[in-house]
Amino acid sequence: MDVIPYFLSGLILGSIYGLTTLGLSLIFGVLRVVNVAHGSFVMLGAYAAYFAFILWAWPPFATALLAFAIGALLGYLVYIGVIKPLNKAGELNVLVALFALGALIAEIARLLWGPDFVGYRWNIGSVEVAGLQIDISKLAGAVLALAIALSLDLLLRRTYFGRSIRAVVQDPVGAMVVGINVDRVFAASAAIGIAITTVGGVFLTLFIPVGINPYMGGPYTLIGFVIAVLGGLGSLLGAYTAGLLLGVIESLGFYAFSVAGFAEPSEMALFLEFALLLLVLLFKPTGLFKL
Amino acid sequence: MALSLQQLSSGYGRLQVLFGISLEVPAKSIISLLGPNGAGKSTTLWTVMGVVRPWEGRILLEGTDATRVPPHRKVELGLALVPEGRRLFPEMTVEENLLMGAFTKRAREKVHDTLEFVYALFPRLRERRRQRAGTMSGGEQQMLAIARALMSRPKVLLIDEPSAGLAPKIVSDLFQTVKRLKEEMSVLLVEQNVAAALEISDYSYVLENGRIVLQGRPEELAANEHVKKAYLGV
Ligand SMILES: Nc1ncnc2c1ncn2[C@@H]1O[C@H](COP(=O)(O)OP(=O)(O)OP(=O)(O)O)[C@@H](O)[C@H]1O
Ligand SMILES: [Mg+2]
Repeated sequence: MDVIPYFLSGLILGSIYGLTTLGLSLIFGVLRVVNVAHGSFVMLGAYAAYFAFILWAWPPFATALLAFAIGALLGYLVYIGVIKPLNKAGELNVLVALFALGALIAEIARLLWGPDFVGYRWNIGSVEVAGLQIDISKLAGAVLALAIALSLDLLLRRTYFGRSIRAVVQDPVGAMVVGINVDRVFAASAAIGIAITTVGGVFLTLFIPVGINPYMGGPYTLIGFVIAVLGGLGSLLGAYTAGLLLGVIESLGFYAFSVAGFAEPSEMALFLEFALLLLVLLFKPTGLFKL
Repeated sequence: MALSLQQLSSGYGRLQVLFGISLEVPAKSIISLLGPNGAGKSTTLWTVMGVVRPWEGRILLEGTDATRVPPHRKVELGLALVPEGRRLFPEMTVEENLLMGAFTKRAREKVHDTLEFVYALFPRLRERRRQRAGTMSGGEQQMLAIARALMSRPKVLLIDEPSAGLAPKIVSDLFQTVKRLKEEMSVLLVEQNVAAALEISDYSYVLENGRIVLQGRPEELAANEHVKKAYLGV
């Protein structure tokens, strides 16, 4: 009966989840670093969308370009300033430093923009799909997110630059000896990864009309981590597909638990996600979609 | 001289492995570097390639100082390494691995000719071109590792223990192939299979505990008492 609309809205939200996780997955695949500051870059993207909309009336898809540029610059700086100097000292050091960086970014955001929840609504009409009114903005966001995921995958497969990234993922020393500048690949991957994460934050605002806040990033780090592991860390299309799956599970889980009415549905949806993660880790630790 | 090492020292962290190694690789020759496990043979090749940082001494490539040149620039200058452990890209096909070997600008321009050249050298690789590298047999992977290094059109090829883990018949085929490479380039060959290496070498060095302890033409080394006892088992 009412399942189809929930499924559809799950797919749409999942597409955005998939997009936000691409960057996490790319950074892990290339640099072998879990970007635990992930959520803070999602948050920066969300604020970019908010301010560009209320100050200059920019539609979020235009802001996405700006957010990509900002994210790329920040990603490059994070590589040069944090990951590169600490990598020799060990992964744990990088992890701790990124965690601290994430917290620092959130605190700076609070100082600059205050602790309150803000948001905006970009209304460009809606269409009826399977008996469900869907905002065109959300639908367009989902389609664009898919397009970005596919283009990134194509970039990795078809260009020399993309192949050099794949080579570093598969064997960094092998990449070095065939003449790839591995340091440059690291820097570029951090830049692209965080750029896409920031763009994901912009897209996310289409779904959270009052949910922008300096500390909003935390859950997205968590969800991003679940998605990236489900998809097989380092596998981009895997991450995207796992994002879709998670969106659907979240939406259907929410539906099921609202009908059942015995628990807080959104918390239970989160429970479902982690239960799935646990099952995957137990039975297919390389992820659902690893080639 | 295609490649010369002058008093080269290096190591890992604080552990010094190489203590002032000097050796010369003339143009169009096969030079072998022999020695027991842990002597520092692989470390020598990693250091020449620039993957391991040299501590002291100099590396000259065709007479030009290349001591501090990073690996990707060395490939551009004409140095290629078939590393210990092969270091293939396991999820890529044979042909994709070969194309990665031609990553540098210089090699990219001639990639089709070079591909034909390595397929002619290793027909097996042509048959397997669509197979994923990670699923190939040890011997096939070794061929692919050599072929991938050749794709960069090197002037000096460094090969680390191509015989490791391979059946004797495959080893002798592989060594015949290496010998043919001499027409096009210089080879610095690291080997533990001393008898096989001496057969195709023009000149050899013996490395023990990070120092060159012996050197000479193959027939001189084969006649040396120490080499006979320690490496040839006679
Ligand atoms: N990555 C590393 N970190 C620390 N020590 C290392 C590393 N690689 C090699 N070593 C040490 O350096 C020494 C020389 O090693 P190397 O691999 O160069 O020897 P080898 O002559 O190639 O030996 P084999 O014939 O077994 O391959 C050894 O004592 C080894 O333990
Ligand atoms: Mg070795």
